[in-house]
This record gives sequence, structure tokens and C-alpha cells, in this order.
Amino acid sequence: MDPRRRDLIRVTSALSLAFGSGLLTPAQVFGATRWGNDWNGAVYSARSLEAFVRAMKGDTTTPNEPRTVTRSERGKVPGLSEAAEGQLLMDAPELAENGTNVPVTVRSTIPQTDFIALIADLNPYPVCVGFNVLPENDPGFSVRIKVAKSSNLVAVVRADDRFYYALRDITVMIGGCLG
Amino acid sequence: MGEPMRVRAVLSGEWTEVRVLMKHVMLSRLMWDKTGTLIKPHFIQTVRGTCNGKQVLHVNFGGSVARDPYFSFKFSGGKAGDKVVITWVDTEGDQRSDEAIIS
Repeated sequence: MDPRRRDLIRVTSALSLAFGSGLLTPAQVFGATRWGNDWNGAVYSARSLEAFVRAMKGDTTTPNEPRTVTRSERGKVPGLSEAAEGQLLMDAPELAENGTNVPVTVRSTIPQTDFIALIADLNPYPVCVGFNVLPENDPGFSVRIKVAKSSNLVAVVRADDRFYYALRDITVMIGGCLG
Repeated sequence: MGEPMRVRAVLSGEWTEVRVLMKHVMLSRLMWDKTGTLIKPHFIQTVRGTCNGKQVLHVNFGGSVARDPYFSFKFSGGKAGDKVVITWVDTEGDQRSDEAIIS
């Protein structure tokens, strides 16, 4: 067998074993946390919305698996309550031609917001941004993200230890994870 | 030291809006390029900002932020002429700081 191909298979299987068995945590692969324990691997490299919510609530023992969402389930979000009408605003294009650069603006008027997250539901690593709302901040931000395929964008807000979400459907012409 | 980023800070009423454009490859997951070489994830993880020594920004990025990320936020309590310093840290431990004067 071509030696490069053999090495490729070796590396792939070793890494997939390592990831699968939990020996190599995403935090280790993604680089250890800098600036103290700020970048929480369980939260930011969650493979699914469910895993993100579990990690935010403190449970890091349940395995972190990609989410498989059937068409009828799009829009069902576990463990979160839907934000009231008009309180969690998300501005994102309905149709994004290029999935590698999608501008999104999120703004929350829920009182006591202290954390806003933006999640692209069907991305391989769905969590895009975790914005810690400091006392001086306006609870909102704008960012440009990659969206892999047509799916929902979910904005999640933690206010007063409770979690709220809002959805935005987005259609992508060219997927955002090429190269 | 990473690539320079552009920071603009504009005061309007009580809110200072800061817009940051960072230059970074933002590779989110293990990939192999055409020759079979392994590419490790390499993306900005945390961005912090201070104004006159007080922290005004603390945001973490996951893997899904676009290449050459744009980020904008607002804070209150800034005056014209104050200096806003934005710093990012990425998965390789690389770091970059840039500043702007509020106008």
C-alpha cells in the first residue's frame, strides 16, 4: 500500500479511537485553555445543541455526539424555553449564497442577560460564539459565521440561570465548510 | 504575534460601538489537505477588550466563526479620546493586541 495512504489511515483510526473513547478530549486537541480556564472545551466544542445545553448546565459526563436532526424535528430544542416574542432578536439573511461568510446580529432584551450564544444547528462544531455580557455591555453583538448547510441558527441566552432560545431558519447555497 | 486587526470605536450617545476585523485562517477541525498533510484546528478562541483598564469585552469563539472574523459590540461609559484595546488568543497560543481611540 502507498506509505502515505497507510499513515493516513493509521492517523485517522487512532484519532477516531481516541476521540471515541474519550482519551483525547476536544479541549486537548483544540489546544488547552489559555487565560485560565476560560475556553471551556465541553461547551465550545459541543457537537450538538443538546450537548451544548448539557455542558452549560454543568454536565460533562454524557458523551458529546453530533446531532442528527430529521426534518420534522428542526426547531425542537431540548432543555430550553422559548424566548418571549420580540425579546431575543436575530438578524440573519434568509438565503445565504456563500455559507463561509454569513453575517448575523443577535440582540437580547431579556432582563439580567449574562450570556448569549449563537449556534448553527447542523455544523460539525455548532457553537459559533459565546458572548459574556459584562455590566457595561449592550446585550448583543454582530459576527460573521460559517454555516455548513441549510439549517436553523439558534440564539441561546442565559438570564438569571434560565436558558431561552430563538430560532432563525437559514438556507445556504454553497456550504460553508469547504477547505 | 498574529496579523494586524482593524479596530474602530465610535461613540454615539452613551454607547460606544466597537467594530473589529481580525485576520485569521480560522480552521475549525482536523482536516487533511490535498497532499495528505494533517491540518490541526487553528482558530481564535477568546477575544477580550478593555477601555481605560476596565474590561468591556469577553467573548469566546467556537469553531464556526468565519475566516477573517468580524465582530462588533457596544459598551457604555466610554468618552471620546479613550483608548480601546482588543486582544485575541488562538488555539496555538498566538496572541494579538490592537487599539483604537474612541471618536
